[in-house]
Formats: sequence, structure tokens, C-alpha cells
Amino acid sequence: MTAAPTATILETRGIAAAYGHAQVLFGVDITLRAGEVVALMGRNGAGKSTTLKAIMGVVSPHAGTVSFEGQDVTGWQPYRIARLGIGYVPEDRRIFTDLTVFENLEVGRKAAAGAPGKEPWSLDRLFAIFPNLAEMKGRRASAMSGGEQQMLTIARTLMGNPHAVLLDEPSEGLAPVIVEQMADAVLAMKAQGIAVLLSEQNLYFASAVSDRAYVIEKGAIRYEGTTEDLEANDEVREAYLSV
Amino acid sequence: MDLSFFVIQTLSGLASASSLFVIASGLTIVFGVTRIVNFAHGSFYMLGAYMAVTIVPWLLEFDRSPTLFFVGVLASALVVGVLGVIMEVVLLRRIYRVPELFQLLATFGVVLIVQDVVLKIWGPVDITGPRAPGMRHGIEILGQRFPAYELFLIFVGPAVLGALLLIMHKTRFGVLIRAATQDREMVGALGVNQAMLFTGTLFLGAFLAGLGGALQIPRLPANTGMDLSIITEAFVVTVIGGMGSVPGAFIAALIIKMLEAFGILIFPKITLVLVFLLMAVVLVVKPWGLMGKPEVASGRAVLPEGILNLKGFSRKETMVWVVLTLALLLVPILGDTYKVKVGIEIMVFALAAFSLNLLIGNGGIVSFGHAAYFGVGAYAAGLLVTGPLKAPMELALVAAPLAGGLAAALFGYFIVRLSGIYLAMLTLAFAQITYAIFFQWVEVTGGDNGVVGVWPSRWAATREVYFYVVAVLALTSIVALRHLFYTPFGYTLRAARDSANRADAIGIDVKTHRWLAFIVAGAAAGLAGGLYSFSKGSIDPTMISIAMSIDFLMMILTGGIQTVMGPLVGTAVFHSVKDFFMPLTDFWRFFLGVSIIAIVLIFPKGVVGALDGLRERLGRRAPTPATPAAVARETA
Repeated sequence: MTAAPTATILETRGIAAAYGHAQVLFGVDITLRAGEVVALMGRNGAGKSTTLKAIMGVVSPHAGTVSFEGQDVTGWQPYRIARLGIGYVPEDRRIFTDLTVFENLEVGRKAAAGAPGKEPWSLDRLFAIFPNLAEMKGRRASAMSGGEQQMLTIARTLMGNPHAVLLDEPSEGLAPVIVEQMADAVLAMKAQGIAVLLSEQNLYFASAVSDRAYVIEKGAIRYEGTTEDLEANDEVREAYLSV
Repeated sequence: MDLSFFVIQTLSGLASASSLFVIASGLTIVFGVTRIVNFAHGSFYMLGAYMAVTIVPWLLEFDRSPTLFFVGVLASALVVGVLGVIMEVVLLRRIYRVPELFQLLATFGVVLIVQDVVLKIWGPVDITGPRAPGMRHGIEILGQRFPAYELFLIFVGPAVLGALLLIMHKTRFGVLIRAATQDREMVGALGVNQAMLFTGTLFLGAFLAGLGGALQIPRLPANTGMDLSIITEAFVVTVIGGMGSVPGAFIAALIIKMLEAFGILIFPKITLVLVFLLMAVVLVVKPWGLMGKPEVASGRAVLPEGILNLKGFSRKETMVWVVLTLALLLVPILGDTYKVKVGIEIMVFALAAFSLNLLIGNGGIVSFGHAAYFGVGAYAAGLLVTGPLKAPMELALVAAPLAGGLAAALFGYFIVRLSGIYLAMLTLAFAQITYAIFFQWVEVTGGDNGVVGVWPSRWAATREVYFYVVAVLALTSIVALRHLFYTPFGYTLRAARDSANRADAIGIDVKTHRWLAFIVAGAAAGLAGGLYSFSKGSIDPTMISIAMSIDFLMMILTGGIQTVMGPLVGTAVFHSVKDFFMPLTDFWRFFLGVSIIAIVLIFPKGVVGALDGLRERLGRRAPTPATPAAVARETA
């Protein structure tokens, strides 16, 4: 699982963020290169989700910078960041349950940002990756299982033709067979040249799909390396990942 | 009942339902997406009618054709739609994240502004519109004549429903609206510019209100009371139908208008009571309306934060309040008649505002209709004294809090079963129903004119003595209410305010405690109303009006809802300013509206809150760094 290191696509430098008076991030540095899959590991409350939200602009960082494809996007509204080419899959999925599968995909649809190099995502291409969704196009999302909803939330994000995708805890609370499908989906995105930054607690899942990993604890990055190295490093795993 | 009569009643019911739905659908769509209950929706409706009585006759001078009539109606609705866009861009955009209480107030500020603007442009006299060319005749149905225009209106509602359903399900804009109704933040994270979506929604909502108003001109002259009369009905429809649900609004409008059409045969005078009963039953069985969803209404703070700092008085503060009280008691001795009058009114309103803050600041129960209990108290006292009983003032002042408490017990029983915006709207609806009952029951209440001759007993007949009567009753009541904040009852209410679920989980009967608070606050407001009626010497429906409820809210907001004593300061400031400025200008409502919006945008914590904030900002400049423990609690 090694990708040739290429240009940096997404970079955070020293981002700090707080909810009211409670500061959560104390200077997080993350680099994501084009076409690679990177895992952000850490325990509950370490700041994984907040990091992704800060990148997306859902939480605005009060210090530090976020840059995407060379452009400083710190403090931008989420919709502008999304239009630039970042897709966001939140941990609680946030499917529009009142809408049909097809309508959920429609909300996510937008033209590819930047140069029209690649073929834009179409329903046919998505349904090739997620065959289940094709069968339930007209079904209301509230009538789907958790795993199906998880697939839908990824498909919905791909409809926006992102260059990079932020995946928040993709394997959380899913049945093992669905986790496997999720891993396939992540690898399918990678195969399409999409860079993925995913937050995870599950080291097996992370190492199955990621090239590199960061470990975050108390709002700061404590470790950075390949997933193989992380798997081999008992000390770091003990200190920051074991429950 | 013969068949033809039955058919005609049904048809008129359908026509009214159809008109009401057109208006209510706009309100419910705007709420669904923006989560703002737009008081100004009624103003858009009124503006639609005024636009139409201006544009349509001008067009008909070219050619009296049905086509030009409807071109005029649509043009009026479009103009109103553009006004909706302006309101979104100028005001709403700034208040999407503020608590609901402030949103309601800010849009009510717009209502006040529009009222004065309409008065300035079109004057106070009703303007009768032209009748629709080609539909001026009646159509014979089973031997009865039925107006052709009414028949046409019956088809407008379903046509609008069909068009809206098409937009909602077949266009990208509609799909985005439905998605945003459920989760706006996610829609934004998927790359949709919410600002555009919201602006478009406001256009659609205001257009529908304007269309509803413009379509009324052949049956109803444009008048300055249209805004508030329709908004209550539209609120009732959206609440019963489920807020955010267009089909729900359609069904609710049908039920209400059919109930009125036939209820009038059974209870000719009190069809409103039927509507009230219906709403109460629906909300008890389905708290989110017939087709509403809980998540639409929940998960949002109604208040920024209520009273948090409950420190008792320091010695210095005690001194200040004692001195202020003594100074107040000296007013009749040192001041002139005018000052005595203002002093009485401030004490009366302070009691009402203080009781309201027991609900809002302490209980998190946002009552938008506190004037109901104030007014019931005033009418109970006034009618006892002037009615056949000719009861003395003393008895009337016992009856006033009892009546206020009883009304609060009755309405509160339903109100405390709801939460958030539904609760606020139900309080408002009950207040409007109370208003309508006293307004319409002319034989007893004197209707619009009210009743005069509500004078104190002989011993208290002079203003100075009556001042002390008010002082004793109002001040002891305020002290007693204040004591409640510090009792376990007050703590319990705050626990329920901060988290009803958690309070419930530790064994607190949240509903009963809130109900008791509601009754206590209602009784206190009733006493205030009784005292007020004797100071004015009369009773009239303005004492129960929305404007009165808003005044009470403004008083506690001016003072700051986060403080126990703030409402008293707020009352003194607000009432003095109002009493001083109101006679000086013809545009009092305009200025009040602007001030409400200014307070919401600039001083959401009120005078006392702003002072506290200033002190804090000067005290420490940097935010305290968080402890890791706090960090761990906050992140997910």
C-alpha cells in the first residue's frame, strides 16, 4: 500500500478550535497528499471529529491555517470549501431521511471544481460501486439499514466530485460485513485518485485502507508515520490508542 | 337542515380554507427551512392586499378583463415576494443563529414597522378593491346563489398545493428545501450556498402570503388590521398541521374552516372556542401537529441562557434596593399627579414582567401571551365592579389573581405539554383566543370600547392613596415571587429548563412543576391586571393584545432575562421611555419596531446583562485556557 508521494492537496498548520470556553484543538498539523489515504487515529474526545470539522469550516478554527490545493481556506463557509473540492462524510451520517435515495444524491450533486480533468461522477458510475443503492433508488432513506445509509452518505459526497474526502469514523457501529464494504469503498475512491482523510479508532480498519496515520491526543498530533510502523509500535499504541 | 344549506355552508368553508392554506403554506415553508417563525408573514399578507388594491384598479382601467385582474394579483404577489427577499437579506440573515425568542421579537419588530409604513402610504381608511371581472355574478346551486369568485377560490388552494408539491419533489430547489428542512448544516457541507436557498425560500413564502392577500380584495377591503388577524389563524394552521409540513397545513386549514362553517350553527358566537379545543386536542395527542416531525422543532435553544447567577443581594445591593423603594414610596408626597400615575403603572407592569421572567428566565418557558392573564385579571376586576354585582374593589382585587391563575391553569395544562417554538406559539394562540372572546362578547365586555367606571373604593379614591394600595400589593408580590427563585421549587424549574430530560430522569415531575409556575405567574399577572384596571378606571381589549404581551417581553429584555432583578429595571426604563416618547410622535410603532430589532441585534442580554458583560470584558481580556478535563467532556 504505498503511493508515490505527490503534491500536497490539503494541509493544516497549527489549527486550534474551541467550543465556547472549552478548547479542543491545540495546534494540529496534518498533511494530505493527492491520491493517498491517511488515517487520523485517537480515542474518544481526542479531537478527531473536531479536526475534520475545522477543515470543513463547520467549526471555525480560532488559530492556524487550513489550505487546500494551495489556497488558504481558513474561515471560509463550509459550502465554499465543499465547492472547492472537499467532500465531508460526518460520523453520524446525517442522511436526509425524508428524502429518497435518489434525492439524497441530488442534494450532493455539483459540478467538478477546478479543471475538468476527470470524468464527473454519474449515477451509473456510483451504482457500479454501490450496487445496493441502485436497487433502492426510490426508497425513502429512513427505510434503509445503517450500513446502507453509510454507503449512501459516501455516494452522496462523491456526487459532488470531490478531490479529497474527509471520512469521520467510517467503521463505527457497523456490522463486520458492512465494515468490509466500507473498506472497499475507501479503496475504490483511492483508485479514482481521490485523497481520503479518515478518522478512526479501529486500527485494523485503518491499516487495511490507509497509507499513513496520525495519532491525536488531547488536541495535538502525537505521532506520525506509516500504518505499518504504527502497528509495530506498541509504545504509541499503548499510550494513545488502547482503551 | 336542508341539503342546499348544507352544500352552501360546505362551499363557503372550502373557499375560506383554500384562502387560508395559501397563506399558511408560505409560513410553514419558511419555518421549515429557516426555523424562524415569521410574525411578519401577516404583514406580507396585508401588503399583498394593499398592493392589489393599488395595482389592479390601475390595470383594469386599460381593459376590464379577467386576465388583467389576475396579472395584477400576480404582480402584487411578486412585489411582496421581493419585499420578503429584502427582509431576508437585511434582517433574517443576521438572526438565524440567535435564540427563537429573539427571532420572534425581531420579526414582530418588522410587523410594527410595516404597520406604520402602511398607515403612512395608504392612510387609515379601509380601501375596497375591485371585483374580479367575469366572476361578479352568482351561480345557482340547489336553488341558492353562490358567488362565482368564491367558487374560484375553492380551486386556488388545491392548485397551489399541487404546484408546491411539484416544486418540492420535482425541482432541485424543492429537494434542497426539503433537505434543509431536516439538516441545514449538512446541506451546506455538501456545497449548497444556504444564503441563496434561504433567500429563495423567503421569496416563495412572502409571495404566497402576498398572493393570499391579493386574492382577498374582491371579498375584503384592505385594512390595517389584516396582519395580526391573519397571523394568528396561520399560526394555528401551521401548529395543527405540523410546522414545516405543507400537506399538513392543507389538512389543518380544511379542518378548521369546516369546523367554523358548521360550528357556527351550533355555537353561533363561539366558533373560536371550537378551534381552540381542536388545537388543544391535536397538540395533546400529537405534540408536533398532524404531520410534523419532532426533529424540526427540537434541538434548538429557545433562550440564550436563562438566569444563572443567583447570588443573593450583597449588603450594598440591599442598600440600593431599600433606597430605591423608599424613594418610590415618597413619590406621592413629593411628585406631581403625572409622576404618581407613571409610578403606579411602573409598579403594575413590574409585577407582570417579574412574573413573566419567573417563566422565561427561570423556567425557560417562553410565553408569548402573558397579556392573556394580565387581561383576564383586569376584566375580572373591572366586570365585578361595574357588572350586576357592583362588588367593591377589595373583592375585585381578590378575584383578579384568582381569575388570572385559573386562566393560566386551564391554558397552562396544555402549554406545559409542549416545548420550544410550539410552546411559544400555543401561548400566543391562547392569548389571541382570549382577546377574541373579550372582543366579541360585546354584551358583557363592551367589545372594542371596553367598560368604563372601574373606580377604587371610596377610601382609596385619590391617586395618592391608590398609589400605596398598588405599592403594598405589587411590592409584596414581587418580593414573594423573588423568594420563589431561591426555593427548591425555583431550583427545580431551572433544572428542568436546562435539561428537561435529565430532570425527568432524576425523578422531577417536570410538567407539574411547570404548570404550577404557570399558575403562579398567571395569578401574579392577574393581580397586576386588576390593579391596572382601577388605575385607568376602565378596561379594554388592548390590555390583552399581542402588543401588550410584546411590551412585557420588551421590559424583561430591556432589563435582561439573565438576571433576577433585571425585569424591574427594564420595566422602569421601557415604560418611562414609552410614556415620554409616545405622545411626541405619530410613528411610535415604527420606532418601537426599530428598537426591538436593535436590542435583538446589539444588546441581546439587556441593559443589566450588557453592564455585566462590560464589567467582565474589562476584568479579563483573554479567555481562560480550558482544562483537559473540560476538553474531554466537550469533544465527541
